[in-house]
Amino acid sequence: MTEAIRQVDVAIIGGGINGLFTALDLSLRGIGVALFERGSVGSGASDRMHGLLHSGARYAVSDPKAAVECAQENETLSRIAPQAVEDTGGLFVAIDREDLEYADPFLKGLERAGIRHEEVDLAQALKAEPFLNPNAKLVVGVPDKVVRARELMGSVAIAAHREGALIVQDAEVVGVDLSGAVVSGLTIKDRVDGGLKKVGVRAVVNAAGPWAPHVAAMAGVKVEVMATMGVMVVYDRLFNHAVINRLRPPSDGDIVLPYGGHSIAGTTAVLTDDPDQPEISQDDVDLINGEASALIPAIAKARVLRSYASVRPLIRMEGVDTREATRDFAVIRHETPSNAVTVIGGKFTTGRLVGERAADAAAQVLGSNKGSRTKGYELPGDPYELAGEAYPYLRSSVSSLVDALDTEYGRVAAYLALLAEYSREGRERLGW
Amino acid sequence: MKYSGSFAVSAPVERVVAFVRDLEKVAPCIPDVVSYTVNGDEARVKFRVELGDEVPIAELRRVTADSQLKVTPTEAGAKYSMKGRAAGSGVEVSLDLSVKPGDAGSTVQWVAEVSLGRLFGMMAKFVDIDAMVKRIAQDTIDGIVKCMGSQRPT
Repeated sequence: MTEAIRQVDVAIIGGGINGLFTALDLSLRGIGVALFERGSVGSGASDRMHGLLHSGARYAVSDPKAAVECAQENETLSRIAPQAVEDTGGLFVAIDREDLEYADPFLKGLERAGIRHEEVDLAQALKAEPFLNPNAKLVVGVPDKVVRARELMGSVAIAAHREGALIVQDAEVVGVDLSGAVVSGLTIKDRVDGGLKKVGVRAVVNAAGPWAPHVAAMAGVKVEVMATMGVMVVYDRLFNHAVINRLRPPSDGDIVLPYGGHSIAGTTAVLTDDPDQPEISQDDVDLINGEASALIPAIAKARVLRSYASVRPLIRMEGVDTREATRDFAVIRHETPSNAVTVIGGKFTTGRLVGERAADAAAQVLGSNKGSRTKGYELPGDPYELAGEAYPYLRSSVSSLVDALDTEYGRVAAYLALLAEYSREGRERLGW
Repeated sequence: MKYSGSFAVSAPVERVVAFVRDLEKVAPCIPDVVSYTVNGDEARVKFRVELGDEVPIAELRRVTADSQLKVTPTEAGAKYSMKGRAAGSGVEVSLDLSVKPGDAGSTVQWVAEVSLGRLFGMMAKFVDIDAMVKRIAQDTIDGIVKCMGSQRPT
């Protein structure tokens, strides 16, 4: 019988896109990793996004640094995870005079950020997108894409598992054990059996997203946080094939995405107290409907299937400039505890880059000088191919989805089944 | 928070007073109006508010406010009360406009009192909320002044 693991090189707290890429990155450097996620992998903020793989155009004027990072990561993710990315293209559409006034700085921003773009003839745009507002005054094409978040996160988690990382779900970190000026271990509430478990660590990465300040506080790091909620509205049908953006500074309701058989419009910025309980009001939905119907008039009469919300955190942490921290992200290696790293900010599109930077910081703590390899690492593409690795009781369920009516819809289910199995294996390795 | 200022209008006092008491004329002058409906001395106005580049999240720099406005005539002009929400937080504004004869025709003195809801108040931990509100108040007044100039109060 294999002896249970009592200490890991790096514990990662949070199984969203940032934590998963950190786990993969460190594993590829030969560093022992355990990732603890309080729910299911990707079940927090990462799975509540709008599905946009940013071309960077949205931030070309307001956040040039984020725009460049998004543009580069858009290409990287399309290369290493083509199975999770749909190259829909994106259109920025000027509807009124004010939008047109923004066109000049927007186009200059695209040039500066090196984002491919072209003016699209309105007749051509309407041919491709018949529901687009026919009174549009300017249409600019950019390489926006759609990313299927759960599939990407599933494939990153599987890759990390293959490279030796322990991925443990339903494991909520409830305590950080300090020994002098370092974190020596974590206390984890096992949400499966309700018990408390201990794991020793040499370094820890706090990648808990909007919940990161809560985790940091356990390690004695003072953080001011305020959550802002972004609401998305899902319509009963598909109105667009490309991502349609309003050509104006980022604001409410200026993106409409094609996702499967539905269009999804977003988003808002609503201040909220608690990232666990974002409340969506009818006013939020009405606001998005109104704004989205300026881009696609048919949305005004569309049936809203549902709405959902993601939460971005505003964070102030000692030693970090707030502007720098959230444009687009910051990775902080703390002075005390000296072996702790916190990730704040970030967009889904830049998750790989965040993981690379967080892994750099954690590797530095351990004295490792191995570099990141995720940029050239092709992620596993087909969860059905891995069905053979599934727990025998799950194997037939996963396999039954292959070449069936619901093959496309079943991919996420297949990933979830595999991750449940890998989580069970991780728990065994930890002696839980 | 209380802010004040004055501006000159090249029109006689009585015309300026009539203008500032008329919501049909004032509502569209609010900068970045998205939509408005006027019903007598009350209006519902949706408008975009530039919170500014100091706000660290791009999506929070330009939010939509949904407000109820009420205008009450005063001896020297008009008083506006606004109750609304922006970015999920409440905002209340009381604005007094007093019109007096001036060199250019009229001078309008304004005093605004702004109360922010708890969530907006908490933003003070991240940005200079006083400077932000002051700038927004000034932008709004500037919008009304510009509008008065172009519409030539009658």
